[in-house]
Amino acid sequence: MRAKLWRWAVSAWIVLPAACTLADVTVVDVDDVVIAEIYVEVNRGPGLDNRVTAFLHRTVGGVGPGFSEVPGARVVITRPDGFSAELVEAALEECVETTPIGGTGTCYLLPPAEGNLLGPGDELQARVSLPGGGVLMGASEVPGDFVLDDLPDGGYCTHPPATPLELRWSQARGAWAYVNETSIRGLAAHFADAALEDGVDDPLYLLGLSISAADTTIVFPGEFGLFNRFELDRIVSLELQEGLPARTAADVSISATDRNYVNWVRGGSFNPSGQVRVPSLVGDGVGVFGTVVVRRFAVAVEPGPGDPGAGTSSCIP
Amino acid sequence: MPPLKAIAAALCLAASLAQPVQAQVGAVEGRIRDDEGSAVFRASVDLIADSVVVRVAESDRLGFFRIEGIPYGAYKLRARGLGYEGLEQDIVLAAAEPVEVELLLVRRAIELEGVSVEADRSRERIRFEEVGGATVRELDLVDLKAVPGIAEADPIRAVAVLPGVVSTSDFSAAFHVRGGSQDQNLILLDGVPVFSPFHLGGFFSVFNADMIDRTALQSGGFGAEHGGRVSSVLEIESDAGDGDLQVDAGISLLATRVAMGGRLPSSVAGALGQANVHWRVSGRRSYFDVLMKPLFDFPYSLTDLQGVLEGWTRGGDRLRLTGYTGNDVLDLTSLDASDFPLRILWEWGNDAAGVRWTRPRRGGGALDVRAHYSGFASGLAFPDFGDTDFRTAVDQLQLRVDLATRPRPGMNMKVGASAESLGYDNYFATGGTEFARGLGEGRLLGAYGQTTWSRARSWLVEAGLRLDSWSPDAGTAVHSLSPRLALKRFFAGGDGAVKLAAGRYTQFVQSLRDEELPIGLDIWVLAGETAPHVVSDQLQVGIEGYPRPDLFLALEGFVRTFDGVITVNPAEDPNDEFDDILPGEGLSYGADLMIRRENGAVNGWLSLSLLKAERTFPDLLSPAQPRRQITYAPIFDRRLDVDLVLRYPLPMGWEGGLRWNVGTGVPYTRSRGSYAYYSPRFVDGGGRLEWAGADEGDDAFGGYAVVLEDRNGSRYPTYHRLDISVRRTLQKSWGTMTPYVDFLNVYNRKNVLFYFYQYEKTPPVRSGISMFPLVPTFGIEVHF
Repeated sequence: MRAKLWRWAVSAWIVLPAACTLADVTVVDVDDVVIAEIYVEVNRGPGLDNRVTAFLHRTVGGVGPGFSEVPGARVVITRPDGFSAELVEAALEECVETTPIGGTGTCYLLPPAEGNLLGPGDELQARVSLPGGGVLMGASEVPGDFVLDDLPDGGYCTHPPATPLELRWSQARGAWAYVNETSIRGLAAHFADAALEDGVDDPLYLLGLSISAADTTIVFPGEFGLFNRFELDRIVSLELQEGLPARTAADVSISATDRNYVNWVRGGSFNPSGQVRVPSLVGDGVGVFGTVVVRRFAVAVEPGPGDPGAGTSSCIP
Repeated sequence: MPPLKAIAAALCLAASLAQPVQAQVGAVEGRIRDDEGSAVFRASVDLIADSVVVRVAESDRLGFFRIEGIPYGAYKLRARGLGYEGLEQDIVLAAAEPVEVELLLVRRAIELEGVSVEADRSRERIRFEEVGGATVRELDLVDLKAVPGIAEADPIRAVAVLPGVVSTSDFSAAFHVRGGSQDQNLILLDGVPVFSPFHLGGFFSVFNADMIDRTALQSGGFGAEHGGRVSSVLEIESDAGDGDLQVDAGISLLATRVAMGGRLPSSVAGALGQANVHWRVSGRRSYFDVLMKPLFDFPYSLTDLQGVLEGWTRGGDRLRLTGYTGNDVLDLTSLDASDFPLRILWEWGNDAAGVRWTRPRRGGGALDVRAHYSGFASGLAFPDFGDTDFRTAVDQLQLRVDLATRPRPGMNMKVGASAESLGYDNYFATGGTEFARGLGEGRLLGAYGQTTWSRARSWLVEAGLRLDSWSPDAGTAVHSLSPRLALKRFFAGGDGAVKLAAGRYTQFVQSLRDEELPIGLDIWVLAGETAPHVVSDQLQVGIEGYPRPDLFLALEGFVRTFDGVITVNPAEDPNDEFDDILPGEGLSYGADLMIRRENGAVNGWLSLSLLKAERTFPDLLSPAQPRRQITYAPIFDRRLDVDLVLRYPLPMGWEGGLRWNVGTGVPYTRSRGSYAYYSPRFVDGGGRLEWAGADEGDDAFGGYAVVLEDRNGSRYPTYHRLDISVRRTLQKSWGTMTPYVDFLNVYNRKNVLFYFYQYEKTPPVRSGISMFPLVPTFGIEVHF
């Protein structure tokens, strides 16, 4: 909490040294706009089906239950070779892991049998026909396939503690960026005796980026957590620069993403009311039609430094 | 009519007009120097016939003056300067050739009241009579200190009170002139271009007012000698002092500052080949970090060092050295980790240096040789993360030669050439990846010629031509021909004039700063493979004059185009190194009115500016390729801007200053609605979406994105603010002491900085934050 106060104080001092809140607060009307978030995730790893989901919701501020839901829409994915498949309505949990309080929407899912017909390099179109009329459309080229160097896709590796792991992979044709994620377990126990101000999440989610198709390296875990550096305890940050601590484990994913995904997540111009996203679905609403190719592996740090076997690294598929 | 033909026609016209002058009237010219050989700048020269002052003039930086168009006869010439004994000399004009005089003024300890006012009056008047095309508005040190300021007088913030100038936020000293972007203003310190001359992200300018002699803004129609920027030229001239040992010091809520000046010993000056050498240096530093040290680590400080040295030879040559270095430091590295977990060190600042040698020519004019260096750099580091490198830098090295001559009465000529080397280096990398990169160099060769023909109080014609040859290290070379033409026709016995100026202007360096942010740092780029150069065609017409001797009135209309302005491409392809910047176009038109009372106990000016500005760029939020073009009003499109500035006496020897500014609202982009923003999580969410915000009680932090209306489709309410200042100079045995108090926004107007649309609240609301509330600031200045 103290850290947050400092951040606010410093930010306020830098940005608005003498500003003050306007006395007049005006109730405003909200435009009802449909937001469509369609993601195509292919080559997810051994034994995993492709995922094609569409999450439709609305601008917030409407009155009444179910306002944000968009049931009865038709979401169709097509390919120039004649492939056409319609997503079916599914449980919200199929699309969404967490929502704001009271947040909701409608989930659409492509059956795996049809979704598995999609692959890297496909040129896809998406069309969303809204139940009350109105259409959103967009297009994407799925990034090309790629492989991790010296690491098994979907496999498992052991790694020495406090040792950075440099990840390398082949280029995915047409990718605009690689989104690199990790979920690290065991940090709470490792830092149990450390004087952390705000503790540490367990598992700890960190996000790293490699921008452009040609940027195919990242150091794990030091170069992950770009957007967590303002929040993460400094002791944790510094130790992760050296590698994973002993007796911790992590899941890692490297995702080649298309133009639409990148534009949606990186945001556009400045607006004080919120983040501005560059959409890839346009028409009677806004949204994203993003496509990704994902590679995953797991890594465990066992045993600790000084223990027998420390300092070796090995992987199994 | 093509520009070159128009200029040729104007030259012929001017020549025919100038010819009869030689046969009917005479002229007097000469130099005014002091007993040490230094030129006396701004000496007032009165031409007196039968005890009546019939003409006035003022000496320039080299001490030269000229009065033309004088009927033959006997006159008395009177020269006066601040700190000098007055001098009178009889002259007789009986031929067309100018009478040449050499006037030596003797220093005097006591200054006579009224000389300063007279000098101001004549300077304004001389500019009216001698400048044809350029719209020049000047603020001297007295004006600067009379304009109420935030904490202390600011030579750049004060420019906002001039006609044609728009400031979009209380938080920024950056300014826009007649629809130009803020990076299109050429800011010169003693002729040295200075990039981004601001502290605290634009909050204050880097210039210490105690070192400034005058600030002159050319808001349009500037001559061919100026290249490099298209919108305006702001000339800031340092005061090298009179050689006496003097100290000016002050403390404000911003910083402490001291400026001192003197002269080098004769032996040192002689060793340097000079008859005398004056110098002034100043230092300024904020003090909160030092003051608060016992309590906590205040993380910000600013430092300025500025100096000027001026030497004169026995023959009247002038050598002038100017230097500036300034640095801002935001140091969050020494804070307790539990208070602020991320250690940050952010530094930025300017360096500028120039050397200038000037040899006056007999009959007026001079040979001027200059060499300049100017650079701006910023670096942001996270010491705990060696993978982070955020930096931006631009620098410029310039060699320049100018030759001004007066080949015959009524005619001035100036030619010059310059060679410049520019470079920039922008790099943003962290977490093992490069977010943006820009690196390049270029060489700019410039040459110009400009000439002025005048028939005193009748006609004034200026014609010029500028050639710029830009060679970037990557990209196509650009050769740009920029004609300039100005006509001025006097009427009412020379007390009024109509004027017209047209010209083409080019610019090869631009800033990528988002002007919609109230404060921020410039990120400079050079024209080349990734960015275009700017070409601006401009036309202005006006009428100006003196309906009364102490009342100046000017009304000008203008239209400008801007081809090649740039903005950041938020949807750039990381695989394409040439699409980071989007080119666009601009258009502006409007009118400026200035009414200035120059004398009297209550004096000041009223300026009124009308503006309509547009920018046309590809739609940043369109997924279609190629994107459609959209035209919108930029943030500086303030349609009406009025400034009233007054200086007036108060009881008990106090002096008052007042500024009232009212402007129609500037544009902004309204949010139509907001939506919860999700991100797919592949590593442990199986590709499911995670909401990007966090709920804390009834509030949510982050996690909402906005749906926007058309760009800048709405406007904030009308802006208005009244500032006042009071100051009193107290005579002490050791010098003077001047306490002052400034009140900004006296009636606490809540001018809107931003509106926040919070649709996630129930009910949805629009709130916001305002600019400056009522802010009292105070300080004290001493002089001895």
